Amino acid sequence: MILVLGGSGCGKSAYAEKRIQEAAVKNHATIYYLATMQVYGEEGRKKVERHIELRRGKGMLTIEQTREIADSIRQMQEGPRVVLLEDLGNLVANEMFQSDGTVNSPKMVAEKIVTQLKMISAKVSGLIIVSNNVFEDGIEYEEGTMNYIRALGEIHQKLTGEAEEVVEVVAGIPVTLKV
Amino acid sequence: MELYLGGRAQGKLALALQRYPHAKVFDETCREENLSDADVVIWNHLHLFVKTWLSQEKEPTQIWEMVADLLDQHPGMVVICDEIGNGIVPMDQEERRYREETGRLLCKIAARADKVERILCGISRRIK
Repeated sequence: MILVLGGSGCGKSAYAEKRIQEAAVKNHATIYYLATMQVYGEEGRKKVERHIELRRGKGMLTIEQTREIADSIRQMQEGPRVVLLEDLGNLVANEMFQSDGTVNSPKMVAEKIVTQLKMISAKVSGLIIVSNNVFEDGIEYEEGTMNYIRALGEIHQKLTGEAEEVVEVVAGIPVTLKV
Repeated sequence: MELYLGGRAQGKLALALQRYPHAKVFDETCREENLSDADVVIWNHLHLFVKTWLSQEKEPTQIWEMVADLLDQHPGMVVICDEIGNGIVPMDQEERRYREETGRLLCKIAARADKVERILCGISRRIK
């Protein structure tokens, strides 16, 4: 497992793509891209379809999985495979804020996601998780957002225990936090 | 060219001035025409330039052309920019764009830079 994180526009996606392609070559594996973003409206759908096509051109098969991330395993073919998940921030939001207005606790969300990511990791030759550094703007948000930040922070800490590598991308430059 | 990154008030400019005491500092408050005789140019507050350019509805490609132009004119330039992207992605589209485009611009500048440093508490860590 490799955790790749960074802020807005830092180049984390491009870096993660490069790494997953290297992992695919090394393992002679199929690349699955787990897209976690919830898509709204026709315009959003069109944009997503375009991105799916672009990724297909790069040899990546997209699975859209906005929650229950471990369910994606069933949609993968047998044989060697590597997985790029983008991104963890969206997955946490989707698991936390339910469509009926209820909000799951950060602890529950964190436990569920970490468990499911470990399940995926055990079934694939490589897992790269792209996530967001949302922790340094110094703003006191309302409770929902603060809980979201806590959940994501807790997941990061748990995943860094699991991951062989943790990389922060700064201005397109990978800065290794753990090897 | 060198790029210095870091949060607010971390001593980025002080570090640049310590290294290049005779440099001319160029920021949002001054004009660029008086830079021709400068040995080293420090371009401070890059993020504020991005903010202004976006408010003038400049496209990212135009912004990059302007920046690349300045970098060409002053090959040994030190570019200083706040890191502004490490927060909750704002709901407001302009604020979102400001963070995103500043980040993308920094990737391009960093790719061209001979040296990239990240500064925290006045302590610099070279990342390229």
